[in-house]
Amino acid sequence: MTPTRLGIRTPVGGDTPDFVRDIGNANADLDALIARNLGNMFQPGRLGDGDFKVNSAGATMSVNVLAGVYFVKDDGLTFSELVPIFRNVAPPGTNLAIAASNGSLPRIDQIVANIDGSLAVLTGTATAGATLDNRLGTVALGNDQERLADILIPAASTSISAVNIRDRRMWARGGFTLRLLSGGGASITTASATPAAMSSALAVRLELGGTPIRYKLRGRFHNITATNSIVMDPRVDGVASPSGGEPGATTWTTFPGSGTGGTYVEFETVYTPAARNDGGGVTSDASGSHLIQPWWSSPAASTATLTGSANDHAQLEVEEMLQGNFNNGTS
Amino acid sequence: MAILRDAVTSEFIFEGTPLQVVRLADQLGRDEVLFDAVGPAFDPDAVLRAHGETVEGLSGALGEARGSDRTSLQRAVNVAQAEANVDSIVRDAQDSIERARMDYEPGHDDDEPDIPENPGGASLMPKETEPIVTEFRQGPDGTPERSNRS
Repeated sequence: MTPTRLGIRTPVGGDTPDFVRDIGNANADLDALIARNLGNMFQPGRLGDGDFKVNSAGATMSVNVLAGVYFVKDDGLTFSELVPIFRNVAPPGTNLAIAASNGSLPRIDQIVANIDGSLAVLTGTATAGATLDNRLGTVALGNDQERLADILIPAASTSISAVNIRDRRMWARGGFTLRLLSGGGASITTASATPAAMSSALAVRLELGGTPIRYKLRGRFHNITATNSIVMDPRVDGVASPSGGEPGATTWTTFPGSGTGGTYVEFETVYTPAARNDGGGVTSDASGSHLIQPWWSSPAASTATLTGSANDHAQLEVEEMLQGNFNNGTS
Repeated sequence: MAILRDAVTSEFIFEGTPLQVVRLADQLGRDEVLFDAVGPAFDPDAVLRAHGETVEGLSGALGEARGSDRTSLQRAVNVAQAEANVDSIVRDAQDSIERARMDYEPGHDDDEPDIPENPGGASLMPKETEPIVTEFRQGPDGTPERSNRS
């Protein structure tokens, strides 16, 4: 048996064909081949919304993990291949027990998927002041593991509620989301020179893989004083736009004119993570769970409005791009 | 949405807009709570400042506005003021904190014995006083209720 084209073993020369052996080898080789090439098309993560979703199991110290497909990175291999794992279990899914809470300190546990398709709970160290944002006391992931969820276990708690579960699943084909300012003619207003977050309707949490993200905001803008500007700041985790992103990423500014309806404007920025950026780079869109929400201000403190309608949506659009930020040089 | 948690147990108290959680935190005492789902740079004072500037700016513009502008400005002022009003949820939030701390055991560590070792022989136990008996019973909605009697 010798590997031939595409790395699939087939009988050669004087080999005697053996149906069971040859089919078995071909199957194993195809598995490896597909997995190796998946790394060129996907990143670790889920395909569908429900795949491997971690849910509360009600008034118990346990959680349920739904069935589905998940791509796990094989950290031990040179090619960092992705291995698809499958779980086929009827809702509410696989039940995982969570260790009893600490009597006086909160704790963050993690639900992970292993490359062999199994699930596990990584129990953290109980630490004062732990939240889902600061993740105090969490333990590092092992090789060949993907994080599905963080679970906050409050001190002396006896159940896992949905609000204490943070979804940490990435999107294998890259995340994309669209958020609308809801309702026909819905509008939000600011008259503050101090930057503030826009509506919660225009905010989204995404688990990013560390590839560039395209960040768009569009809608009909109006300032009660036509010559005054409105400044938008495409923030990640509430942090003012870091340097090193695409030029112009720091803020978006518009002078929406004097019409009572304002002006329909679209802004776009691409953030490139430090690891993929030739110079500088940003840090706030590195891999991990991020709150993506534009902020805004009216520097002259006059009344500024963003309005959405059925025909002119006010919307936030975020797209994770798997291509990275590479080039072949300049010569 | 921003989340407010109990500072002692990290238990969930309330979920709302950043302004709502800051206003509620001020009612409960900022030392009593933790902010969550807001990012590491969250500045509650900046949230209040921005809201104050917006209400002031809208109110000033309202005084000069006419017609449909006035209507929309009045609506914006009402929305801004309503968002800042958390009076109706303070009581529930206080109850949430109380429930979260009901079973809390100060200083308890699962790896340590509940009663500290005392090689010197002197009693480390508190002086005996009237015993506090805590009774638990099932509430009508299935949640435990507590009553203390001595």
